[in-house]
Amino acid sequence: MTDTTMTIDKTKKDTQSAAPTKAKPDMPPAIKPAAERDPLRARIENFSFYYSNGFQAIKQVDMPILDRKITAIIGPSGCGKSTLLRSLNRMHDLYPGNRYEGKVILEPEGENLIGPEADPVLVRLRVGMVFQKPNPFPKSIYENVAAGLRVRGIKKRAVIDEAVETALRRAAIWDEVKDKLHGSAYDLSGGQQQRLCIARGLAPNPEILLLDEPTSALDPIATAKVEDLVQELSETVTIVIVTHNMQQAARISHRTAFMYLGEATEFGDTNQIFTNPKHPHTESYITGRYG
Amino acid sequence: MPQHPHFLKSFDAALQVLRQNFQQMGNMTAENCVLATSAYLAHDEARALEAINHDLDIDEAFEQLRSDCFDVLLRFQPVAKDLRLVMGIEHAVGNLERAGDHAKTIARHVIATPRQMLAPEDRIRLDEMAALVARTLGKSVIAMTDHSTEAAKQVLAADLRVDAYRDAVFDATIVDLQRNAAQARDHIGRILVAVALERIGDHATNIAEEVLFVSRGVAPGATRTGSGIG
Repeated sequence: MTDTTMTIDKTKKDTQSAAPTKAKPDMPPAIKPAAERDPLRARIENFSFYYSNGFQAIKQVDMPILDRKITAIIGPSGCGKSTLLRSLNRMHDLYPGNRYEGKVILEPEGENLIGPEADPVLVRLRVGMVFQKPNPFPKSIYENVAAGLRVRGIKKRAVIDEAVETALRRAAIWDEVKDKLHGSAYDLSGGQQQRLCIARGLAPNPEILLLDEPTSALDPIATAKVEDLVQELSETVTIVIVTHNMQQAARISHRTAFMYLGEATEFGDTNQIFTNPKHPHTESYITGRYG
Repeated sequence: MPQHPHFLKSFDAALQVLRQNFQQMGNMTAENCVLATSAYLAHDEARALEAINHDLDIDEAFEQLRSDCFDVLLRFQPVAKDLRLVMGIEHAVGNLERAGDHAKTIARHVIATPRQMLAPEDRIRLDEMAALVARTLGKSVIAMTDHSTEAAKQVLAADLRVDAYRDAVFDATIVDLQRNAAQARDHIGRILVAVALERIGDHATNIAEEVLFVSRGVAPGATRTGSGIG
């Protein structure tokens, strides 16, 4: 098992070493930790978040987000995991007075998603989000998926038709809805509604998909379908998922971050976090002894 | 953040039962090792039969503990140190069961060769070896239930002494074979007993390696290269 538990300093080092290096011809290639082996899609650097009342919900978090991998964020209620997730697509901008510090760098362009020059609307197209409870719009299945494309300025019917089908296929729900695309999204089951929301998030072809406890309102069968879908999607899109379900994090994620009181206490390979966590807070939490 | 008991009392209770039953199985196995060897040293067939019958209890405990481990995995889906403990015990009970089989082999040898001859020094050597192996096995079990890496290291260190006893029995037996080939069956019997005891010691070593895995997450086997002993 590769030990890739991250500290703030190490994270920066990993980030810097992401560029390809030339192997010496007379030496076998070294086996690098996964964080160096896998390219990054985003870098969260010295990131803090303050609500409008001055409360600091996130404290100097450093975290690499690996490209086309699933990163799970776990931690007790109120630790800041959902706040961090929502920061990644500027959701907090919808409320005045909220404040970000630090950087969320989208790779490979190096664009700071929380910088003043970044347009929050465009950020949300590049970083899609699916929420805890399925929240389809009170529209048809087709219009739910097309909505994100229209925001992007796409008006051609043929282009939208194709993109809707592609998104629904990627969300593994096409076969179930292809004959009722213009029926109400509310007629779908909870699990289908959540996969429709994932399709809606996928339609603008985002680079990162954020999932905030996406299965907490679903039964085990619908949960299994969403988990399968998330794993399939991770081949083409980077995923960050917040979950309270430890087994779910262990089942589907490649990397896991444990947050506690607004800090990213531990970050590492999911196997390592769930079999041999380094930090006592992580150990207490995941074994159910946090109190 | 201080350590707290698990939110589910039934989880802590299930782990505790697992520890207790494992310790009980360990005690049974260590005692049977001593019983079988004493039967061999005393040419006592009744005691040997008792040891053979006790092995059935060890087998039953093995099946029960494996079932209990699966039950804990299924019901509580443990992670981290709890997962390592359950997996460690699940592996360790296999070692205890095999150690029990070696004790049974010693007992069967008593019945197969009822009138074997043993020199006093051979008797002392095997007696001491059996006592050391039983102590080591017992210590490995306590190391597992108490998460004691210190006790596990002592078990790993004791393996060298067990091997030294086995070598001494081998050397003495070779000399005896050269002197008195007519009693080859008795001499070879000593070697078989020494090998069985040495294998029981190896199973104690395996359990000690599991303890390092359970306590610190050191992969079982790492100790063979010395990297896991720190």
